[in-house]
Amino acid sequence: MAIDRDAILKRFLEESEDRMRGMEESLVSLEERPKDKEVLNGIFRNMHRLKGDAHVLDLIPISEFAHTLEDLLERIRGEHLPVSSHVVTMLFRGMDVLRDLLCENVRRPIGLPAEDGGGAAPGSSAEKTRSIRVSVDKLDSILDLTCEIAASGERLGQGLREGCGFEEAQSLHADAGRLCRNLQEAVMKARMVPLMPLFRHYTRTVRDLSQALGKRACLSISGEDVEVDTAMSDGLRDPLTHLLRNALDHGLESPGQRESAGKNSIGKIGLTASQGADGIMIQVSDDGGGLPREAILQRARSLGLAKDTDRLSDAELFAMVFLPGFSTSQAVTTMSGRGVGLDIVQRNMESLRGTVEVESVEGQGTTFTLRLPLTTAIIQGFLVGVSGRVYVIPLESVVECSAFSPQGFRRDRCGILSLRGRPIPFVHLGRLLHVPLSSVERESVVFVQQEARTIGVVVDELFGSGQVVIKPLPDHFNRLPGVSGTTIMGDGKVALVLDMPSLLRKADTGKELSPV
Amino acid sequence: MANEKKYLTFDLNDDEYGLEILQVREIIGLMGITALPEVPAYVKGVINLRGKIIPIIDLRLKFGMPSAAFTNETCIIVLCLRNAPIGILVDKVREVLDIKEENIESVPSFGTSVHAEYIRGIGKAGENIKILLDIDKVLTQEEALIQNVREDQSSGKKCLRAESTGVTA
Repeated sequence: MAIDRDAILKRFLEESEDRMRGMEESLVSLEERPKDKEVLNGIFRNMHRLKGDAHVLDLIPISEFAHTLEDLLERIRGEHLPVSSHVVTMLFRGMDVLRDLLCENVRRPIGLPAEDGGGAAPGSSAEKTRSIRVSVDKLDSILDLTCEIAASGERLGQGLREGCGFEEAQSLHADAGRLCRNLQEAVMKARMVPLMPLFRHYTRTVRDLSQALGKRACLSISGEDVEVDTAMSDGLRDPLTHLLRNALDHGLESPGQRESAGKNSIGKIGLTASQGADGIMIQVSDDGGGLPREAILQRARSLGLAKDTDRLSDAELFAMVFLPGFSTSQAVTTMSGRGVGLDIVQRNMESLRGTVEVESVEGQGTTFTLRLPLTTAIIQGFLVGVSGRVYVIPLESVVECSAFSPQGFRRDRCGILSLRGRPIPFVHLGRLLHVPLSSVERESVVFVQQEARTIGVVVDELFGSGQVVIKPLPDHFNRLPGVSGTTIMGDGKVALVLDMPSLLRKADTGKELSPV
Repeated sequence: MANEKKYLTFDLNDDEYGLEILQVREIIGLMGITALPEVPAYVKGVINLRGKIIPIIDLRLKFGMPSAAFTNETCIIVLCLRNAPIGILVDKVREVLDIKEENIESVPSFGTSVHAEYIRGIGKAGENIKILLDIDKVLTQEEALIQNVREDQSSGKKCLRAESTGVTA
């Protein structure tokens, strides 16, 4: 199978240009707020990805130059170099050079004009059209359903004109409702794509990378028939690239080391997908040396991340590798080792409403497990009301709910309550969302599970649970903290779907929850 | 005729403003706006426009004018900016006017209630003058601002969460 290199290069070009635009915007912010670590981390991540992608495509001048820029950024991050306007200017010049390199090495060879005229010309990511292939069978079933829906509307209209009884009208209406749900399901199915093309793409990545790193590895893929929503397939590209890169660079030992440890000199990397009742599981595994527990422990100590590091379990300790800037690798290579990567994975997974975990046995290997819901578009939601507004809490995080009995601890609408003798911190949802609070006679509390703890979220009203179709926020607010999307209610109004982990993290930082 | 353009004019805080009509997608009546947490006050929230969720900007607050109670003339002008619809709240929509390029004067450095960089020019139509907005500028800065707010907030949390897992564990 011939690989259409031009198409790949074109995609790389589009992505890189997007990234550079993003980086330049962030550079401006950085100059304004030099202390803002997040802006710096953002630039760093983008540069890192650009470098990685260029390297995979064998665009050595670009990846090397990006590496140099990354070194500079690293020095800023390590606070060896202050963010002066001089430094920012230098980084901007670096961007210019990078752009020239892209033009010379990518744009011209694939026969594209030098640069789309004028910086502010339309053509940003908003205009990029995305497409998928849908089998005609799937389209036919959608067409059939729309015909049936039209007919059922006609039947209902006719019934009403002829003065049918209430019960008959109700049953006709129920039929129409059922058909609409079927249509919804059919459209969701049409959006599903197999993971195969995505997985196949990594065979080459692993091969090229292992050569560049002087390692020997073979990638075994399974479960590529599993289908996911097309948005999810796109969203998995970056996290999987990072995990595979990580497995090759940090996971696998060099052939010599492997042989002396009595292993096959060719390392095994696994990429598997499987589908369960409640979602999809993807695992990236290697049979390398495992996570270096001691090094992680030391790094955690030096970063001051945990107080009594001795008592941490493996799971707790390994969870730290997902923190920004957490890397134990001594050698910084062009591919990885700067501690960027795993935090991106976690972030990407959160935006896909999924989770990532790591298991590792020293000397035997590491496995990263990604868990994803079947679709990001429909969830089971729990509807609650605060000051006359309706919010949706994903049902997966709700443990139970009960009436809220206001005894003591009511100052500031947060405190600690007792759930069958267990002390549970609680906070009013209105406080987390900065909604003016109205006084309600009977409040309720929804117990929400967040990581290892349970938190009580006080609300004015409970409306029960139901299926919720999530619509993304407008592009302008893609990552509004505490809100993962919106849904349209029966009355046509918009309700916000809450992102409980980030909302509750806000409670932590805002000191809105008393320490337990 | 080539140098004549059509403008949609509307009222805001007792002044008349104009927008190039090509940027206007539709005008809709006021409807229930769902507020968003932690956005600047002039970002009123989002509405459901036939199944699409679009953001609503209160132009009064954006321009630092006092907010006004909604009347039955208050309405939302839906604009299309780089393929993404966005709504602006105005006091009252007036009419569509043809204004010739030679009847547009440059922006005075003072005397307008709106920041000069948001203004394309001052249009004359008979007796009246209209402040012609450069809505791209107004709303581009908008987006940038919202983005920054977001980035700021999602940042600190990430790290702090790390600490909290460490401690609670």
